[in-house]
Amino acid sequence: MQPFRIRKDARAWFKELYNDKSFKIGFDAFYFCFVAGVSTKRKETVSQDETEELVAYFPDRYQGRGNHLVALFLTRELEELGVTMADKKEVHATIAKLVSPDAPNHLSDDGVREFNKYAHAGFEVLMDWFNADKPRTLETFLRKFKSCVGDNVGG
Amino acid sequence: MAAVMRILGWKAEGLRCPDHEIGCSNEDGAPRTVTLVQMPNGTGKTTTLELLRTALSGSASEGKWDRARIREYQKKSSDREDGLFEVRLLLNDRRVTIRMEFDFENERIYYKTTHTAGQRDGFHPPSDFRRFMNENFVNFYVFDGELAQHLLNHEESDAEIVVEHLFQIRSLQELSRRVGQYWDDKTQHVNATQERGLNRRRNRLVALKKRRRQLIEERDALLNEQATVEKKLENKQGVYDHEIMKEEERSEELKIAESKADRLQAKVREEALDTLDTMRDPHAISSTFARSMMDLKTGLDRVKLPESAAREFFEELADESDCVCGRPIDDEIREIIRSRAGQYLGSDDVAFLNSMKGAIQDALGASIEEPAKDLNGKMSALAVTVGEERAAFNDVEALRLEAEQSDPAVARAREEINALSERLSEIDEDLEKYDSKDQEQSDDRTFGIEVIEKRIKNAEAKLAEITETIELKAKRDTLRRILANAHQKARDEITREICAEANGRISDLMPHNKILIDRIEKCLILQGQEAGSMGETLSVAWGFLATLFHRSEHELPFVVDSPAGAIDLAIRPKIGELIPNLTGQFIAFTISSERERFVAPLKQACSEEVQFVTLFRKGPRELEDQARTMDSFDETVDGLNVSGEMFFNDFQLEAEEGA
Repeated sequence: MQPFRIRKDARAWFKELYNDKSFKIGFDAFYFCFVAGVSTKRKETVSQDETEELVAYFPDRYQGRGNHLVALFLTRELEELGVTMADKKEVHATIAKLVSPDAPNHLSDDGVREFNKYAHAGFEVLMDWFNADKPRTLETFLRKFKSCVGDNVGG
Repeated sequence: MAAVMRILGWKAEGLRCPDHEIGCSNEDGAPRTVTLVQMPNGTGKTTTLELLRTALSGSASEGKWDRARIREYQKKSSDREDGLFEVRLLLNDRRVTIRMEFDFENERIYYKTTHTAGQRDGFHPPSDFRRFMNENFVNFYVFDGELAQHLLNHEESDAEIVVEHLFQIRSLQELSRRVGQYWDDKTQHVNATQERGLNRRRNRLVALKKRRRQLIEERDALLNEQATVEKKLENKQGVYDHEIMKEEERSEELKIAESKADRLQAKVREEALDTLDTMRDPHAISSTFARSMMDLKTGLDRVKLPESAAREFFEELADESDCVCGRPIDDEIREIIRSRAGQYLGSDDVAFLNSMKGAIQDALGASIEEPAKDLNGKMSALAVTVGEERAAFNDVEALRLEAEQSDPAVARAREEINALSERLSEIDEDLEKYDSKDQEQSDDRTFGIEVIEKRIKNAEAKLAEITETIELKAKRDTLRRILANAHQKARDEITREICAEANGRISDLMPHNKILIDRIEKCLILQGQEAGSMGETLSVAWGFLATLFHRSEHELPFVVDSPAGAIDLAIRPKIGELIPNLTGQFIAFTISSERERFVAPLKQACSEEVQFVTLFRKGPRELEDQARTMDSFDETVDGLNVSGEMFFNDFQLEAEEGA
């Protein structure tokens, strides 16, 4: 069972938000990285050395949102692979490859690896969006983040 | 394990010696202790002894003998193009037969070895006897007067080797070789095995640890300074607040402004946290996400994914004899159902997809745009509150500025606060580099303490690897030194004891000759002289070999040509008495002139019955006739083989000499 992994430098980048208790768990930083990656349709492979292990499930406030995150991930993957609903067999095969209902995060090992790739690339995206400036306050970060996602995928 | 070798007999056919078969065992098949084979000169004594040596050592196998040498063994005045020599052995109670087939036409010798596993082509003695069944060693237990000479000639014998084999001292050298082999195997994948590599890795580790210490000291110094500056800042803030509040009216005004700013700050915080939680729904961040998710759901609905029936249904159906529609399911249909079942999702997948679709429906079923709209509303509200907060803080700041301008003490306090705050920012910035994850830089340019820690861990592993290797090498060297010393000591001690004991025997044999072994090297070194007479040399050999075979735990047969031939009549009885105590089996080839003062003492000293055999070449009619009157004789095309002591003792010297 593969865990979610976050880039070590990403965790450090969100230091201020952890210090003021805005972010409480590692998955908070991971989530924003993931959304940034999906928004820009970017994926990146990072060596295990440069990442740290998180959990293999959707924790805390994300617990009830796991299905939504998997749904967003599947739509992105189907799009990436050029699979349309017209090809039921391909849809079926792609979903069967990425999903593992037995896993606590509903993802197969392959699925988690691909999921992580969005988060790894997403951190680079955040650095671009924020000109490498670390977020100092939650309110500034959220507003800037929302605005950048909107610029990429629409509001 | 002790090796016990016995010769049960041998057979020769079509060779230079008369065809014959000699058995060395009694009626029960047990090997006899002493067998005396009397063969007059010219009967092929030397040939038979040589054939025994060749069979026991495999020395003519794999074409080791040249053609001329092979042809020398062909029977004279015979048309036979083949010959055979076969020796039957008992090796630790296992019967082994070694057969040499001579092909004189092609001038080849073929070995065949038979033991429990059946017959094999070639010379294949059991592994535990190989060290005794080779050319060097066989000469020590199948020997003639020449060996006695060889024992005293450093160019001919290897007495040390025999001692090492018989007393297993060689196993110490073998152990040493294996210790070396173990180290070689263990270190074949280690890059560095020498001190230089060790020093290089040790220095790197020392440098890394130094770097870590330096970085931690620098970071701790900054943390200390940070704490001090924060304390000072707190004090200065107190001074500043005190100074600024000295004027009552301004103080009141400032308190109100600060209170408002604090309230708005809390409100911003509350709204930001609420917004954060809303943003944890990806479909709230963007209605594009929401639409994609809903498209996924409706798309899956449209293509009927998941199907109402799961894979398991069809897999179970394929096991039934009839379909749900009532039609029978034959093997062909069964196979089709099974292969197409793979196109359906499993029941777990079905459940998950339904649950995911349900979650999308719950979140977006009422309105796809609503979550994003809701978040946008919260964002707008947050923006307003942030604006109000900023304005409130600006008001506070304006009041403070006013106070600073009117009171130099406040201004001074403010300046000091600014300086301290600036220093705090610098410290914060400096501290960040110690958390850097950058792994690209050299050790000297790396500041991330965690990165250095990781490098230390790797360096320690590499150092441990080479340290282990070097420690292992030191152990190997120590062990090999111990084994070499043990080998030297064992050899010295054993040869010293053998010398002493052999000298005792030699003194018994020749009390007046004063010939003694000084030490054993490649050959036997005599005290004060290089060699003695033939008789003395033979006596020395007897003394040495008797001691050697008597002391060893291994029991080998002792096959001797002319055991008493060159020995003085006075010494012969002692040799005869010595023989039964030498080893478990003694086979001697004698001539009639050796019987005197030798056979009787030997027979007397032997606790078991001595076997007497007389073998002679056909020719003298009188002897042949006499032999044929005996109870036990074998006749071949060219030889007569007579068993029995009487014939042995009566065998006429003149006839032998005539032959």
